[in-house]
Amino acid sequence: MNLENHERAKKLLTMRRVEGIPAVEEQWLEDHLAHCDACSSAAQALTDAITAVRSFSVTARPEAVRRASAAVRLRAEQMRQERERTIPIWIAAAMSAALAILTTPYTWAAFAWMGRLLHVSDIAWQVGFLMWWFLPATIVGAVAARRRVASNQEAL
Amino acid sequence: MEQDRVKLAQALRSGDPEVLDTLIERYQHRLLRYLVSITGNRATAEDIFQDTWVRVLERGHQYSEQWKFEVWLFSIARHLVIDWSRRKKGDSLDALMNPDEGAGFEPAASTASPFDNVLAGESAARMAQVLERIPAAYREVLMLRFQEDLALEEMANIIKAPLSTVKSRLYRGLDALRQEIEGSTI
Repeated sequence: MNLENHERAKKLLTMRRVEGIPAVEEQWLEDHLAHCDACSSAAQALTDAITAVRSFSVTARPEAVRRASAAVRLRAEQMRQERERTIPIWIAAAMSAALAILTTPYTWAAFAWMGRLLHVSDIAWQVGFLMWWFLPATIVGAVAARRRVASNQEAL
Repeated sequence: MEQDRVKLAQALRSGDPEVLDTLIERYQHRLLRYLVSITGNRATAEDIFQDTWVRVLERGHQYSEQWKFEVWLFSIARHLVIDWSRRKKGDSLDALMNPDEGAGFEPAASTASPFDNVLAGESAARMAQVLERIPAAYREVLMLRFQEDLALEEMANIIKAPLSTVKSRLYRGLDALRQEIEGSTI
């Protein structure tokens, strides 16, 4: 048997365990192992190594499991409270959005009237209208972002 | 099987702690074994074990039924190990899990022989010592492949690396393990 065959056999031995080999290669390997003591020993060493990995056993202690379960329950309760706290905010946001949509034509008319009264250009009162529309959301967004950053820093 | 995962995904979205209790019961040993295998330290593994389940609760809505639950679970656990190690040692992600850069990810153990605390029996303890000498990146893929019987694609998903990296770590890991076993005469 030449060196090339041994090298091929050793390569196939590992490949068989890692990603599998085609049936033809499998057959060739089995034939080779049947007649080659060195490669047969290498195959056995590989089997022993894998058996060793499979024999590695760790058992979770009941105390650790109980602690994990308690931590999960505590966090679930915190999350429930957080959800409850945000419900009024969502309701308020929804009502505010609905009101804003319903009153838009009147607000627009009011800005147009004020623009005429104060003799400002159309673009000026229209910009004022846009600011009236977006400013509250921008302020709330900025405050929320600031609070989030602060709470992340606290967590660290 | 697919239906079970769909049901599990729905249950996880509900955030019900009872569901989590069932999952903890079912996956406790496998998760802890995976954590011990990559941290090399039981106390650390137990801390991260707890954090992992809390994270599962928080991120339950992100679980996709296309993956086995354990693949997602191990992926979360792995992220937490990396976060923990970064906080502890300030290492970069590459340095932590890259076996070609120094010793790879080897968190400092709080005791001289961490695996000894984990395993009972002389042969098991010797095996633990053998595994301890293998870089964590190799140990991890060996455990995932031969203990968890995961497919290469699933492993790639857990370690967030290309398939070629998973294969190369497995080849090198097997080689390292074989050499260690031959040297230690288990």
